[in-house]
Amino acid sequence: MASAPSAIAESDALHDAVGEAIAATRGAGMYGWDDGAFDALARRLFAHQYTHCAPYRRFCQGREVTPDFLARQGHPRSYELIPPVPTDVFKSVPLATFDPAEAELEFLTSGTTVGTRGRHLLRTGRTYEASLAPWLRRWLVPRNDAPLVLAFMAPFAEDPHSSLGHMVQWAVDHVGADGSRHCWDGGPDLDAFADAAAGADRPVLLLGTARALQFLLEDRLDQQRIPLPPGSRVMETGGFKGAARTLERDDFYRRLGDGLAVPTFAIISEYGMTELGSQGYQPGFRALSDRGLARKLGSALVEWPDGTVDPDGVPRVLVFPPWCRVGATDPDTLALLPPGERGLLRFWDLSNVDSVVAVQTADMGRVLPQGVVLEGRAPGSTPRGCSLAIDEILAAR
Amino acid sequence: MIPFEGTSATRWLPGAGGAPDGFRKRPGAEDLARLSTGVDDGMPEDRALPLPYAVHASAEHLRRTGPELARMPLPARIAGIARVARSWRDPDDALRREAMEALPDELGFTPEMVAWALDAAFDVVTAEALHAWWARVADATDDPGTFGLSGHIWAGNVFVAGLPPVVGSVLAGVPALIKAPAAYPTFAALLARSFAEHAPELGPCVGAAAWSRDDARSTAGLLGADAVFVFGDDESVAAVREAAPSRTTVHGFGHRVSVGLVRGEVTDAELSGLWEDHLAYDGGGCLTPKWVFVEGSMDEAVALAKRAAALGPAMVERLPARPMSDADAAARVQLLGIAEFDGFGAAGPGWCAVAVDGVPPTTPRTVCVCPVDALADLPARFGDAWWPSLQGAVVVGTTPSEEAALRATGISYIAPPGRLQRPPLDWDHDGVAILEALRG
Repeated sequence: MASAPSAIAESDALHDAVGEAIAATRGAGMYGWDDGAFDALARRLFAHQYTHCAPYRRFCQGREVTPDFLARQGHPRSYELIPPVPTDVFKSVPLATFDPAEAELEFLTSGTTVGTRGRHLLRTGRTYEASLAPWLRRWLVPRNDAPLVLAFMAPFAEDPHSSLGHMVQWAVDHVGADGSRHCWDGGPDLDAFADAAAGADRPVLLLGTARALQFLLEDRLDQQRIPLPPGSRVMETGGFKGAARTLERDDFYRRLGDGLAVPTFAIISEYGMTELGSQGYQPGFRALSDRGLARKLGSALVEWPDGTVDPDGVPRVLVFPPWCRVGATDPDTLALLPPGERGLLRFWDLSNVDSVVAVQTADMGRVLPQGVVLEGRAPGSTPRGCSLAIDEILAAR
Repeated sequence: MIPFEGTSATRWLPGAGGAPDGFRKRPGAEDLARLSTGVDDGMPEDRALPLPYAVHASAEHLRRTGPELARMPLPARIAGIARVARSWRDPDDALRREAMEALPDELGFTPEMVAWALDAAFDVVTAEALHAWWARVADATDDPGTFGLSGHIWAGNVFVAGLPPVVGSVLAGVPALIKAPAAYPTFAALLARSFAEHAPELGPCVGAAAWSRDDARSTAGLLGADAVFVFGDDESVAAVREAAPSRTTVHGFGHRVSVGLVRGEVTDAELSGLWEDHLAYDGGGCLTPKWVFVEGSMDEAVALAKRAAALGPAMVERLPARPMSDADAAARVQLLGIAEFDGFGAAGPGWCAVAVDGVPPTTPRTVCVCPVDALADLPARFGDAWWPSLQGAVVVGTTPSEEAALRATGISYIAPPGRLQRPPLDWDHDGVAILEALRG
């Protein structure tokens, strides 16, 4: 059934509002946006989703949370009461405020062999791109220097249901200098990468999943270095979740840095998930070069010194954009925990305009004002993550 | 007490420098003095006998002394076993107190859960039940069989699951040697010790030690038994079958799941019983009903789940749990979400109640109610390849023909709410007639 014109108009207005908010908060850090403004927009999104997504409305009614109820709360963090949808629900319920047939983008969670794939439907990709662009530039392209972007990832046209693929395609198309490309031929194309790197006359931005980078390391770099030009950097994502072999992170980064001639602080960890429009990044070299940021992050390290710092001094936290807030919930009671306490991570992502703004994950972590200390997927929960797909491809070779 | 040679807090191996031949009474100073030099059969004179030697020595010793146990009049064996069971039900008994000190941390259960499990396991071990079991099987004859030793390989933290075959073995006049999991050594050792202390007239009838499944030399000592009862995953059971000598009969109890079937009204007492079946062993037992199928619509499933939720906090007070693991917590939050979209979901510390469509993966300590059009259709569905093997069913309102159909699927125990986790001694576990299997 086609979406109602009123719902489309409402959605368009919300996309505009979120886009304006993203533009207005450019330069701000995590939680760098006024609580009241965030809350007001979150409640508008919730009202839209409650009204136009029937399964979600029933879910909220079961919890006796309505838009009016939120409005009555009268405090600037009422968004924390928005019923969060666990990620597994994306596998079985179409969470969309519009007719799914009208989706411009349909992102599916990774993995073809592990259970059903979760589905995130986007009526339009414009807010998704508006969200990913400034945050990716901020952490990976700080000087806007148009690096040569090389990606161990299938072009989006070949894998049109991958949210990561979409993001990487965007980086190749909009961030990279001429010659930017996917180094991919049914799997990571190491020769293509080596050729491109050898001919690079500017810094390289290499994008890949942890498993693809592990393949690069073990199949090539451990035998032969491929030095990248000075100023190059690497974005690693996906971790080793569900992989047959895993590497200890510090060792992985050190060997990867050695093989590519990039300092380990230039290897940036990214956290994203299909169900969220926004991403988080480890500060990496920005934490060392940006004195203000370093000061802010440093105060977090005083509170959580254990395991929160890489060997070269980069805080091991993920920083999310101002339009995406994160909380940790008590595993037993699902109540929100005070900052710093360990729990299951919950997100309120304003870039999720036409799906659900509040998402409950199975990832454990601690949320500090300065960033999120990710402790990984709870062992035993459904393996998922982008690295799984590459694992399957590599295993099939 | 002074530790025996061949014994420790986690090992009780008669004959491995342990209890001497013909040991018939509570050990005194003189006995202990004998034991201090009593390593026999050419085994090294070492107080800490290496485990593989100790297991072999104890197996031989138990086999040698077995005929005395078998010759003992049946009423004497029954009286001894019943006395041991009574000691385990006595909160003031020294060995039970020792168990209560050690087991919660070892098993990961709360003290209340351990106490409940001990009571449930030994409540059914009465003189009357033992007589009835023997009468059912042995046609009222007192003649023991021809077996000389039984082996028992235990697994997991449902620590009393392997008790009935051990009790049956002593009842049949066959000494029993137990291999406990390396991570959970205490209960088996204390059980063996309780026979020596509370029924010394039976002689050395139960031995126990813990070792890893990788320790093939120790396991070999046990596999020489005439009958071996193996608990564990299907892979472990298969490995034991392969390793056992051809003359050894292996009875395997692989991993199973259980279910619930409900038709019509469920009383409050039945609902409490249903909760108890779910909470026992923190929802990790083969007899834990993973899914409760309710005949009717989702509305009826929701109604039952809501009643269960209302009762959850009180039930958890009776059978509290330790904090959930990260994995369980993560899985539970996902299940709750799915349930809230499907029908109903509610949870608190240590409990969860949901009504869901289909048959989703469930989480521990969760009453997971699933609506079905007709209970009578379920046995056919249980035949689907993806279904795990079934062991038990808790039932309300089912007909005899439906229960027969359930049995035909391999379900070996059907019980009303509150009884599923308290199977009777003479339950033919997974179709194995334990006492018959011990009579050679």
